[in-house]
Amino acid sequence: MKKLILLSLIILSVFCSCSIKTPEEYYKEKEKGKYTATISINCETAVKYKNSKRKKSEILNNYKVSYNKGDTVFTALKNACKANKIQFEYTGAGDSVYIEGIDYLYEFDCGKHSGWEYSVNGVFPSVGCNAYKLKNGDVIKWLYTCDLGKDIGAVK
Amino acid sequence: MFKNFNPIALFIYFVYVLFISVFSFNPIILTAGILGAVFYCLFTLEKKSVFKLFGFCAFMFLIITLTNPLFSHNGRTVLFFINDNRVTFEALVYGAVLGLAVIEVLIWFKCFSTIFDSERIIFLFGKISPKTALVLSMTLRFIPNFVSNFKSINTTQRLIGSDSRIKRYLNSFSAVITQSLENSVITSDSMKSRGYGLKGRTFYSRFRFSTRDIVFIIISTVLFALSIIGRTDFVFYPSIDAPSLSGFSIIGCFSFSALSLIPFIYELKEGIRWKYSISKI
Repeated sequence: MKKLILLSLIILSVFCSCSIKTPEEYYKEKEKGKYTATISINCETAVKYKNSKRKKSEILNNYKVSYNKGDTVFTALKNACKANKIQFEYTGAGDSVYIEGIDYLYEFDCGKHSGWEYSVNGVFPSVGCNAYKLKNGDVIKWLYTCDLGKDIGAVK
Repeated sequence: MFKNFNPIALFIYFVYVLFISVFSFNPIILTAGILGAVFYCLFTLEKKSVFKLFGFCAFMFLIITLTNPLFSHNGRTVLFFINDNRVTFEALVYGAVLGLAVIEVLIWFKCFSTIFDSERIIFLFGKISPKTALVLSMTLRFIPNFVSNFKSINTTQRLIGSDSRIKRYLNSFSAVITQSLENSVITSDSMKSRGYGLKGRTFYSRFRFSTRDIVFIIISTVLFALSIIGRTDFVFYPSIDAPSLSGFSIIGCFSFSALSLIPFIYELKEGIRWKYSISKI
C-alpha cells in the first residue's frame, strides 16, 4: 500500500512538472523581447545531394526574431521556429544543446558527414548554439552541410 | 513433432525467420511472424508459462510504444506539446512497430530455447567446436538453473527461520553463486575425464537426416528467398508512407506468413492425424 501511494505520487509529480499544450495553444503564444536578430535557415546542400527529395532550399529567409537579454542562438532559433510553425528537434541541455534536425531534415540524412551548423555575422563560432550570447542586430544563418562544413565554408 | 526435425534444418529455419524479423521494419511482416510464433507456443508449451511470456511481451510493447514519442519529436501530425516538445502520431506508430519487432524476436527465441536442448546444441556445434558447444549449452542452462536453485535455497532459509529478509536474500545469493561455480568446475572436470573434445572422438546422435528434412529445408529456403525479393520498407518520418501494394510485396508478405506458420501447421497436421488414428483404434 505504501509503495503504491509512493508510486502514484511520483507519477503525479512528473505529470505536474510537464506542461501539456495543444498545437493551437503552443503556436498562439508570442515570444516578445527587446532586441532583434535576423535569422535564416537554408538547406541548399541537401537539395543538391544525390537522390534528394527536397525541392525547396529556403526554410526561413531573413526573419526578424525578437529576444531578451542574455538569450542565445538556440533561443532565437526556438522563437523563430515557433513563430513560423517549423519543426525542429534538439538534444542536451545548457551549453551542450545540439540541433538534430530542422523542418524534418535531420543529421545524417545526406551521408554520414551531414548535419546543421550555424554562423553569426558570417563567422562560424566553434561553440554550442546555446553557449553563444547574441548582440543586437546579429545575423544568424543556420546552414545544412553534407561534408562537415566544407561545402558551406565553415572549414577552409 | 516439429522439434523432431534434424537440428541442422531447424537451425537454418530459425536463422531465416529471425533474419527477416530483425531486418524488415514492416508491421504486416512483423504481425505475421508474431502470429506464427504465438500459435506454435500455444500448441506446444505449458499454458501457464505461455501466458506469463505474453504478459511480459504486452508490458514491453506498451513501454516501448509510449516512450518513443517522448524521445523522438519527428513527424508531421502533432498530437500535443510536452514542455515545448512535440509529441507526434508518427513517433507513436514508430514506437509500436519497434515494440512489435522486439516482442517478435522475444517469442521466437522462446520457441528456439524450448526446441534446442543441450543434446541438439551439442549435435549442431559439437563437431565444429566442442568447447563452444559445451559453453553454449551450459550458459543456456545457467539462468534457469540459477533461478530454481535460488528459489529452493531461499525457501529452506525461510523455513529454518532466518531473521531479516535482506539478510536471507544475501545468504541465499552467495550460496547459489558458490554452488553454481562448483557445479561448473565439476562439469568441466567430468567432461574432461571422459575425454570430451579429444581428437578422433565420435559423437552418438539420434538425429538422422531424412528426406523430410531436405524437403523442409527446400521449402523454407524458397519462402525465405521470396520474402527477401518482396521486401518492402515503410517510411515513418516525417509522415507515414506505406508502400503501395504491388505484386511483389504481396508475394513477400504471403511467403513470410507461410514461413512463420510452418511449425504451427506441422503440429496441427500431426495433431489431427493423432486424433484420427485414436478414433480408428
